[in-house]
Amino acid sequence: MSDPNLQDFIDLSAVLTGLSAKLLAPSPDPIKLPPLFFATAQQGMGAAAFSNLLGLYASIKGQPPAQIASAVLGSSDAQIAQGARSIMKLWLLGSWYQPYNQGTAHKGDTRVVSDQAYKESWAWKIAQSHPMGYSQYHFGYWAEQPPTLKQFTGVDAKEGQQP
Amino acid sequence: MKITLKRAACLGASFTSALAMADAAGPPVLSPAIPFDVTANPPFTLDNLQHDFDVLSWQTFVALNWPAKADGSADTSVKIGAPGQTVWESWKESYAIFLPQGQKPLAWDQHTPPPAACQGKGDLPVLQQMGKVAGVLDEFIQPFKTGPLVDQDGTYTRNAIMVNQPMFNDIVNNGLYSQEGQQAFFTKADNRIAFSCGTKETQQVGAIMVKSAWKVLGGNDNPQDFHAVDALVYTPGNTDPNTGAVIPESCSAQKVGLVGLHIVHKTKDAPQWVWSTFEHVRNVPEKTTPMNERKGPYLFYDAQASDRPINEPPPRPWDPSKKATPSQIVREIPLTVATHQLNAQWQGALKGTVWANYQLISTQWPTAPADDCQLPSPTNPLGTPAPSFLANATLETYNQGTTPQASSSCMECHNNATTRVTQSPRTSFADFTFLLERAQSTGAKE
Amino acid sequence: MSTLHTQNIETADVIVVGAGMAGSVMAYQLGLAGLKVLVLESGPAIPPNRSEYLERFYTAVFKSPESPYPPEQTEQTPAKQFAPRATIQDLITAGSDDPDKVQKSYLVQKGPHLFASTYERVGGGTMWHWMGTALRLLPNDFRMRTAYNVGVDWPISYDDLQTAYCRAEQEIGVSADVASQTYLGVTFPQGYQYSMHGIPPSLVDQGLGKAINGTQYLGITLNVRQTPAGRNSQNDNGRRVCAGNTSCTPICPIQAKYDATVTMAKALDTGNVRILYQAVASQVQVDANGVTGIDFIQYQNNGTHQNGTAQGKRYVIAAHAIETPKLLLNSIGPHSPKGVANSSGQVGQALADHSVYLAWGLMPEGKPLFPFRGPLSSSGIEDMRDGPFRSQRAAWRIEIGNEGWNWSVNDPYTSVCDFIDGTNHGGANPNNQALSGVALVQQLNSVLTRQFRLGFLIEQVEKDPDKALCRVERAEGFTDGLGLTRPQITYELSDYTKEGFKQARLAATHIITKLMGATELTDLNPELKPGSQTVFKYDGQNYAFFGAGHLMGTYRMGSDRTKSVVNKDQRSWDHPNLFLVGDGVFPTTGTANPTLTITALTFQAADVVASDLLKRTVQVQANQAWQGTGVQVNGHNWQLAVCTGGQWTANPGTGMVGAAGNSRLTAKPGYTLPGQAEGALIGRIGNSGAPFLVGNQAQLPRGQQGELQLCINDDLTGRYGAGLSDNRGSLSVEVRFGTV
Repeated sequence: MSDPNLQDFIDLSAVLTGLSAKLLAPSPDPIKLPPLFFATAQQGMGAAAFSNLLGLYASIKGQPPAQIASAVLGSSDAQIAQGARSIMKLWLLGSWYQPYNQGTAHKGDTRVVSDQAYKESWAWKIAQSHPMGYSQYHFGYWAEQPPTLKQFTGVDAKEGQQP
Repeated sequence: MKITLKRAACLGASFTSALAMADAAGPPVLSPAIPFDVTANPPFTLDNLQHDFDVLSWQTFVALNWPAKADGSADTSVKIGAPGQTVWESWKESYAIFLPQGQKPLAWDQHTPPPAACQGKGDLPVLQQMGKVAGVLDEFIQPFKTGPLVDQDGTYTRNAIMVNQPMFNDIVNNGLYSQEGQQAFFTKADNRIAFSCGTKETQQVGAIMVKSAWKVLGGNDNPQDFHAVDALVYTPGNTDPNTGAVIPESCSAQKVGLVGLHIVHKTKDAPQWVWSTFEHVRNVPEKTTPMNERKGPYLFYDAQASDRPINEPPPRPWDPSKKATPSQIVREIPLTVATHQLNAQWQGALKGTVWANYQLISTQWPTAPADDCQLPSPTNPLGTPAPSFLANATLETYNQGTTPQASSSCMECHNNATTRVTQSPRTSFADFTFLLERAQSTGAKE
Repeated sequence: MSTLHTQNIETADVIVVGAGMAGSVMAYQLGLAGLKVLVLESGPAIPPNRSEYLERFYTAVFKSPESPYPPEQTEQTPAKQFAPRATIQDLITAGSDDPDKVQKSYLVQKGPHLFASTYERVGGGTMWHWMGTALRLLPNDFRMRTAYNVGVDWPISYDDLQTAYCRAEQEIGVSADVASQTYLGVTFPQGYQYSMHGIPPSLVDQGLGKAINGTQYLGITLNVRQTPAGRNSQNDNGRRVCAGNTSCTPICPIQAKYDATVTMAKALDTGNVRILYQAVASQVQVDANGVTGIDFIQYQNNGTHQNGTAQGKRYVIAAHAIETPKLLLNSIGPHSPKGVANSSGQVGQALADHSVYLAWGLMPEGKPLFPFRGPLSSSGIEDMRDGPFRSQRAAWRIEIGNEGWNWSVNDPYTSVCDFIDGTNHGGANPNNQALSGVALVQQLNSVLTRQFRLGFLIEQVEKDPDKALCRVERAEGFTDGLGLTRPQITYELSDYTKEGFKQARLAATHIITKLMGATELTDLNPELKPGSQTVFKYDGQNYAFFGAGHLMGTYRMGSDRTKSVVNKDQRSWDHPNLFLVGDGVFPTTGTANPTLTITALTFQAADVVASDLLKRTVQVQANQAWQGTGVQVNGHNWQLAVCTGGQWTANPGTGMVGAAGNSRLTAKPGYTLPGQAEGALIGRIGNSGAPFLVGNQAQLPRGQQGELQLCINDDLTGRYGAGLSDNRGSLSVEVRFGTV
């Protein structure tokens, strides 16, 4: 990515979602969700609030992830705090949840950003599965143990959870 | 919407990289050597890698279309374009591998006689399938029984599937040509379908399968514009309305011209295979071309019949013995600028041969390839193909588009192919080929 | 646009209204028999591929059963739409306090409960979004009044449908293992095998099975049992094998799940079937002798429409359980004062669903079940679908869901938002944690992998089946975009069904908490808001109910013309050239998903329609050798030869006999068919067909093509005596469509 803002957006998304930047924005990338999500969040939050969010991130990006998340999600600027949550939902569900009234959009409006956004959304991989309506697996897979959470997301499952 | 963004990105990057490559590489070299794997040059951007795979496609296209000697190997004493059967035309056809009662195929160098209805019509290759037609006429599973492709003379186009010797050996040596053979193969708990990969290290060509589309040359067709051959156009009869329209068997010798070619090659860097597809340059206009610029003349589109519905199959029943309404087809996803430029280079090198009449549509390759040639990737079996969608207007005519799972994507659809032993994921996965579904039962009881 | 004077008239042998499951089977069987069929379908054509539908599904926020299909579920403008239908979006609006709710909902819901199921109006019909479950009804489902003194008896029995069930299972392509399906009286022919082997059980099924199998509940042994499904476990039929997309409802992306377009394609392949799409049947015209035509309005996408009339020798309405009575009730005329086919007053009466009690739980930490994988449902608990309790309360089957809490609370969306926002709408976040980063991934993983849900499909029985509380009527003053009056729904669950809910709740809690050791998250006290709802109060508790998508009962079959709309052949009592098919003919609901029974019944009805038009009676002379009947057998339809009268003999000395021949005399070598009774009626297909015994009646052998020939079983060449020359008499034999 040549655009530093885009890279910050990806890195911030990684911090917030717990999914690494390499997973959210693989290279090479024929699907190109990161720029689409960037534009979606920018439009949804409004350019100013979005810029403030990225600005906040840029100023603290050296800190540990937990601190960054806390600063962003606990920001006293409600638009930053709510907008960031909508960005998390965007990656996990492929839908934009309008965080507050902005332009003609109302708080609570929801839309699926694109068929690819749904198909690539991460909540299902976090469930060690696939989005309903999009499976790449083979007959009978459901009768067998799925790959581990670590294989899907790079994150270890909670202690004592599963093999 | 998304396509526009993607193409905009491509436009920006591809001019630079394509020109850079052109400067560095010079005109293409025509060689009968089938490449073992892609040659990828840094930087490994999406556009550069796409270019490298597209070059692989052209190199493979040239090598496979080289005139062959009697033993099927390329005749290095002549140049491509010289008369004679091509290398891939000498390969085993699917009907010669998956035989009635699951019989063992004849050895690689032995010819399987054509169906009885074709006896006496000359020792010619048999073309039997039509488009994406159901039942007996279509011996392998199609995503949907979407329909036949009809040319301007009202005649159905015909298909043939061939595999190279490594793939043939994989099938025969493992007994995969019969249902019982497949069952026996899977009784060993570690066995899974995994065709051979091409590798540069061992200088081995991997499994290659080829699917060709042909039109019967008519009065308005100039054979010089095509790779034209004499072939046996065979329609297996069908008497069972449960599997398709009831139609008579027939076979006749016809002059046919190549209009579409899929080349699929499994390599170490692409265990999900490399999917190359070529078409005759005059097949169809692109959907994005304005109506008044669709000059043609096209093989599967009539510029005068602009009110006919586009990309719709003819009405059922589909009976190749009867004339049908010519198909009115456009290409949904246009070729990229980079592809056009690469095509121009290769067509230039092939000038003077019939092969200059063909163009690469694109190459689909896995951007996140599986770790090895045996096991599918557990969390991303497709390996995130690029481009996401790819269709040949003569072979995936009626499901072009960009909707996941419904629109043509080589890997996505072929990933659903299975064996005849659908018990578990291990036994079901057929390594991206629908051919194994054609295996018949020997009838033997256990 | 046309005027009355330029009415567009379409003709065919048979007119079929509806291109869904029943319409497709009817068209296929009739087309195969050589009859010309015209299908009128209110919705758009079967598309060349499913990209339009799938794209709509992928981008729908609310992925309801109707979400892929037109008209767009968010429009909610039935007064303007040309082929509107019920949607879950409408249902939600109907239960809300939206001031425009009556106008927005296609169904005009009078209450007191809301009718909760939906259907499609497109080529291929509601089968686009069926689950795939292909269960048979139980023998007692057909005889509720006799066995339990509730409901009504069907005019046919389970055994009467046995052959038809097998035909239906073959047409759909059902994957199941017979051994797992013989329970509660269900039988199969000796050695029967389903088309394909069963679908492997999911990890959810396996986890439930470990805890449940073999346990006793109220004296009944429970087992988790494979569900027979119209879903490919093998690729022999040319379609792809199930890849576990977990979206059967609303759409299978790869058509591994059967849908009616498969059968309609075969119908079109016969060359005898034509479909008019976007052609809404608007009125059925009748005179004293029967139906004289079906008026329709064909609309274009640009908003224009033209009128037409379809005329044939037979009429079949297969428009599902709400559109069919709507059409009949909208067809008032001098010979149909209460609507067509409605002298009994039962058209539109006894609308029924399988009302669903949904229960869901969360396994303890460390015991995941891994939902969201596989087909939407692969197993169920069927052991309580029948029993003595049915004289007191409704039975149910338990469908095990593989989709976690997707139906229950719209997960993963709700839980994902809960753990990001710190809310608890889904119930899995009681401490209102707001997480991010790795902690979010871990907690979501923990919660999502431990979800499971059970759906109790509860039978609906009216307290007084002849005076039903649930019905479809004309909604006076409410029309659609073509000016046709919309359906008005009155709906109320009986105490019999509500008691079924009460028992379902107890069973669910038993399974979830006692057997699985899980936490139950079912909403055990749903709010009962004012106005019509999908919530009711019974015996001190509130229950929420859902629709199963099984609309049944509104033109039931019976043996009493004053109390039913069609007879056991699904022929209208009032108009002999009219047939009504689909699950509107079901007099009771049982607890099986209706599709397989619809299909079986339609095969039978198709045999009757084909026989009406093509049956032939011939005289077979005793003193002639093989005689042609003029009946061309195609080897695919099921046909019968039945002796309807007469006497003959192969030997006057031994007396006249019927078609069974002389039981004391066995034919010798050289006879037409050695080893069978002398003088029996014998048949063969074509000159070189192998002779077979017909006797009093026989199924014609399938798989052979040619002319049916008949003959007496005698010494044809005169090897033993006079041969044919001294034979006397003749038989009359009817050749028609059907099964023995």
